[in-house]
Amino acid sequence: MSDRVVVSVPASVARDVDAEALIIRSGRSEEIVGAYRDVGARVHGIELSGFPADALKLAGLPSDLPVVIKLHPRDAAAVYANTWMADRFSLSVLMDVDQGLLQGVTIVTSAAVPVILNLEEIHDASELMSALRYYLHDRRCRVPVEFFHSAFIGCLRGAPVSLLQLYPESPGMNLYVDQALRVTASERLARAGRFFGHVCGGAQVDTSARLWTDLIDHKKNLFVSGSQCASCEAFHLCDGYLRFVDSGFNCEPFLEVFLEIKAKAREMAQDLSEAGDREE
Amino acid sequence: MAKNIEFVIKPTLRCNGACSYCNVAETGSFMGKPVIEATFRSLAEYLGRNPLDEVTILWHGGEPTLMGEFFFQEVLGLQALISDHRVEHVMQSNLTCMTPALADTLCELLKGGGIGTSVDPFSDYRRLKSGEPYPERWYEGFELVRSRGFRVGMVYVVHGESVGLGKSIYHYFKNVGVDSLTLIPLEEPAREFEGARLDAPSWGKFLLEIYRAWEEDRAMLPVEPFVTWAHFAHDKDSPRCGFPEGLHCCEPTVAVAPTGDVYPCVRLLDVGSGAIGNLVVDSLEKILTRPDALWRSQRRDLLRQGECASCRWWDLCAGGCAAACGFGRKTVWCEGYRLFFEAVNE
Amino acid sequence: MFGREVSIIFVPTARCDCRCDHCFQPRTDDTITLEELSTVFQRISTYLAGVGVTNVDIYWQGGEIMTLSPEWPLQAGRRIDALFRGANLSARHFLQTNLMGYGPAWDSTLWELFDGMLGSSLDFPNVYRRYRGITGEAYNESWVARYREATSGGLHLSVISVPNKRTLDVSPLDFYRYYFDELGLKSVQLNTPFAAGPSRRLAGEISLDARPLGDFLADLFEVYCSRDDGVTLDPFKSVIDRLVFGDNAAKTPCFFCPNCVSSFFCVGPRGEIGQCDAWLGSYPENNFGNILESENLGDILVSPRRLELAARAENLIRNSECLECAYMSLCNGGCPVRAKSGKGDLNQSDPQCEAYKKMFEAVERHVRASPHLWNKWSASAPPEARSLLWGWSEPGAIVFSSFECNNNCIFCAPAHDRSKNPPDLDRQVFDFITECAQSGAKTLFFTGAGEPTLNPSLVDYARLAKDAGILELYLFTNGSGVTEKLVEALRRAGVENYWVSIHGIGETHDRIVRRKGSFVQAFRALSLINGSSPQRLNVNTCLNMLNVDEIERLMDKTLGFAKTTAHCLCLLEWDGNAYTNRDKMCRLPLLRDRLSSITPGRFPLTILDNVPHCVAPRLPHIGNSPDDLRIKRRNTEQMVSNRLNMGHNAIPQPCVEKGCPHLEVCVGVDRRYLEEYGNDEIITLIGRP
Repeated sequence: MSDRVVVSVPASVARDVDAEALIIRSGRSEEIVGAYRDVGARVHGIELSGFPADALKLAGLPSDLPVVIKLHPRDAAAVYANTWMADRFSLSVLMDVDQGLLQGVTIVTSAAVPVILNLEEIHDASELMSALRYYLHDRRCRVPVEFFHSAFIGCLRGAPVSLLQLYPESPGMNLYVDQALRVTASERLARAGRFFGHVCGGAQVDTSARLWTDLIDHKKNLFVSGSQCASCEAFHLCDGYLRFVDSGFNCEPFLEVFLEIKAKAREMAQDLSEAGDREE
Repeated sequence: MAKNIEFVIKPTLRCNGACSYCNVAETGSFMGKPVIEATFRSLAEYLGRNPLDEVTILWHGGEPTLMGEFFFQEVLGLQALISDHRVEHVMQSNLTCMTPALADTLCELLKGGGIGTSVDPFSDYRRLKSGEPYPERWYEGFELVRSRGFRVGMVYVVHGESVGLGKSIYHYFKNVGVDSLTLIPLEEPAREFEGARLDAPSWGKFLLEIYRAWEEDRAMLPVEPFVTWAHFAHDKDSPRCGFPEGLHCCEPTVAVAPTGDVYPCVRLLDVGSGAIGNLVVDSLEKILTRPDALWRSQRRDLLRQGECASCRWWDLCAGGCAAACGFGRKTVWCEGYRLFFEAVNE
Repeated sequence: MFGREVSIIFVPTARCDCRCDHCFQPRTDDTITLEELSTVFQRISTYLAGVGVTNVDIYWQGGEIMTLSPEWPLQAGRRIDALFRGANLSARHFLQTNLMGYGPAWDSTLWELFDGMLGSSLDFPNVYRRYRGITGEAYNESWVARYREATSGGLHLSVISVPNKRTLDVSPLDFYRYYFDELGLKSVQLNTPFAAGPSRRLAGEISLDARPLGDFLADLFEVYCSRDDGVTLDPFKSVIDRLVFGDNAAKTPCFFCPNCVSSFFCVGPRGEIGQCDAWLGSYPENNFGNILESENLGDILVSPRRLELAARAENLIRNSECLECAYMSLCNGGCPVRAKSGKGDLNQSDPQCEAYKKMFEAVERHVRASPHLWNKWSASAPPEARSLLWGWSEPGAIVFSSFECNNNCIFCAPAHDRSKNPPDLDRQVFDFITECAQSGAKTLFFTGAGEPTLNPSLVDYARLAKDAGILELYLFTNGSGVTEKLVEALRRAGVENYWVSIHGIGETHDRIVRRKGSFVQAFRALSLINGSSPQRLNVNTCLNMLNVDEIERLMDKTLGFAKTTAHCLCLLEWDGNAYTNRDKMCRLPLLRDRLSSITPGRFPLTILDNVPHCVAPRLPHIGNSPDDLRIKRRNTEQMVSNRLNMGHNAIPQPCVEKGCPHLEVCVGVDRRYLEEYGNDEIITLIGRP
């Protein structure tokens, strides 16, 4: 396996996975700390399910370590009780897309903690557009909200960045190991019961597995299969990510968001260009 | 006066494809070594005497890649004869038999030049004789040539089923990553065709659909003929690519058949009608001085005195494709163009 | 729990020499002893190091620190530093004082412990502040006299101002003029008043209505913007910075931080631990515990009182209108102790909420309407790292402009040259300068076997040199004669480059130069010269056994001056005093050990002089100075090239035999040193990895 592959593993089995770069996941600080003790410098990041009650135990982890907290919007206020983690680590909140999203994003970003919308947990996307408008226009928002931020900046620079780039499911770069040591490319694929390997020392992948070839040939499949994604006007901001697991996924709220991002980026580019002209 | 000459070399009229609406009358011959040598020698002699002229060699077919990498290596050798002159190579291919070795050879030959190709994302008119899926083989070839750095232009044949899908078609080609899109209306196929034909109003409607999508997307993907029309609208006195008016092929065009026969138009070659010489026996200069070589200009003069005389869209259309309509007649797509121009003009 | 950086508000004494009516601190005689202090900070450092904290800022508050003797905080600070160093924690000290007890006796402490920076408090008009019966305007006059004395000695003061009802009757323009024009302050922070602790009895008087306070703040902000004269008026500036540059670039006051519990805690004179001095004084029942009674700070920090405070921001978000407020991310609900005192419940928003909103509105309006602020943003690159500035225009010359010195440094090589200045020194120097200019010298260094600032003709020399066409003038000084006036006169005469000799911190420096008070003079000089924005400001430190263990701390301090461009660490030739005191000079292997931890990344201004290359291979070295640098000591002497002057060094034989690849760039080792210790030490040195 290439050294560049980052493997996300449950903290409880971290020591069983032979990989150069690990992201360890858990809901309990103790487990994270224990895993860190076992695998040390191979840890490239931490993923916590919520702010654990015993978060203080994480204090011994190296500062600047990327730490991602998975949060439901209703639990967003907890970020204020844990601001020390933002001072200590490279902290971001991975927020479920669900009711209360706007308020959740508002709270977390007000505490100057960046938010990443968790597209593996899309329950209710009805507040997506309000969250985007908050990100684009509200003066309280001074930290990135992903995917909005990268998509907007990409459009502004004329080099769009897609969801597939922001939430990679590339087996050559990212692997996801579940509790039963099965290997796939992301949590949502694991939840969908789709795997292409298992852990036996290192991650053993079966390159003939259907999922593997689906992932490798993802773009080709879209263009030769007559998929709607191939002719979607926001394809460059998605790359077919949203419908990879469920081809019937309702992208409508996302499409609106993508089109708004494109329009606003165009507006800003125009303003900047006119401002540049004025200065000249 | 220096000329731009489009030199279309069809080394074969054979094709691995079996597209329902193809208008090439497929014959079995491949261009032999004497013919290709005579072609380059003739071109070299001509350029020696007319060093200011510029030549674009379009490798066309049938499917030119059926000639294989060795043929094009031979061509690379002959290229030395004309290397001092301004000659650009481009190719039209379905890309379905592209191999890495051939792509490497073509890289050397085409240099900065691009490859034109065709695929139909929403209908299955395009097929391969082998029964393999055309879109998959095409996509693999497309990825291969993109990986070698080729610019790829898409030539999309608009048929009856295309109408209503303009926006999707535009975005499909933009998403797949081609560098340009050229729209061609489906004309008379060489074989029996049972699919959905295109009529003139539908052609206009389709143009409008795709134009709206193009405009909405701020013209991110160059689409012909819109780019040319936009160019004319912007600066009438600076003809694009040396074309005096819209919707015109380059004149003179030298279309060379596998036998060395020369036609003044690719379409005439495809149907085997109206040869104006043969490069094995005639010099290129002699061929170009034949009155038939400039038949399009003559046609335009005729049309402007006749039925197109009062047309306000003449500069954008100029009578349309000459070969498809015949010498004395305006384009069969006239109504569609009018419909489109008027809608856009509003 | 904390991030990598934490602040400690340290109240070593509750004693105060002022009797201010609006103070929330009860006055008692409680003062922590040095022994208790050691216990307290030993426990604190153990805990903080254990939880991954690396940097600690210690804010010394009172009571009033200056009711203690100047030596007390110095000793206390040294103990704290030693404990923190032992725990791999880096500590910085800041002082908040009413200044009424200030006198020059404090300077050594202020420079050594607080880097010459003081925070003080002054209200305008003064209503509540009182010092020994002095109140009202007289208090401010008394304060200003001490302030003038402090700043004339190069100390820097910032001020906290607490508005009162009379303040709101003053025009914001007059308020601004008082602090910045009349007093010449560069940094003022406005804090809002609250009545707690002893001042609760005057709650009706002290508390201000949010509406008029908001109007005052908004109007004052307009004045601040219209003046745009480079001073800092907070919280305005920090709010602007937050809006324009983002949180990381802004240093906002504690009452606007997202959760103060994550940022600091307070230690009282009896070892009590609370959130801040305001909590400690006003609501001692809310203290978290006592570090003298509990060995583990961690146990104290999980006290229910602290956890209640920690949950405040979350509670505000869940249960108050704060979430809907457009300024939540700027204010974060404001100050909990103000909420407690004003509304009786810390889980309420700050009682000055409306005033803050008006201020935020004014700031936001200004920021959005000021393209130049955004231009700064768009042009803002990452803060430029400090970089070493070295070298001068050649040829250059050195003029010995004084043979007299008030120091007697233990390493002074030209000690034998020190004497009374010859009666015709002026003529000699004038002739020399003229000769140098005529022979094309572009740079002139004013130095001496002694201290150039003792020569009253120094400014005249500089003026002549500049008039004669010499481009760059350098002054070497021990700082003793440097005053604001002299720096200005030298600047006008064309001196824009300085070397200030500082050989240690506090007493270390004084022991090395063998004159008490010289450390304060050296730092004062550094501060005054720094304030004149010279082209080059180099600090020169001669390495010896007395200072070699505190070099890093010294370099940290000099880096704190924004205009320093180089810090040169040098080994003196074994001549004069250095030879006499050779037992106090550095041995090379020890030096190599000490310099090994100094990296250009951490100390980018460091450069070594006369140090063998292999002793510190990662640091930049000055090689043998070029021939174009010439030296003349007396009229009777010929001008000689510096290379000849460097003849005291030799390349050790073992280095030649081993084929050292750095022979061309290495200065070698002093001949007398080699005679003293032989080649064995060199062999050991070059044999080690």
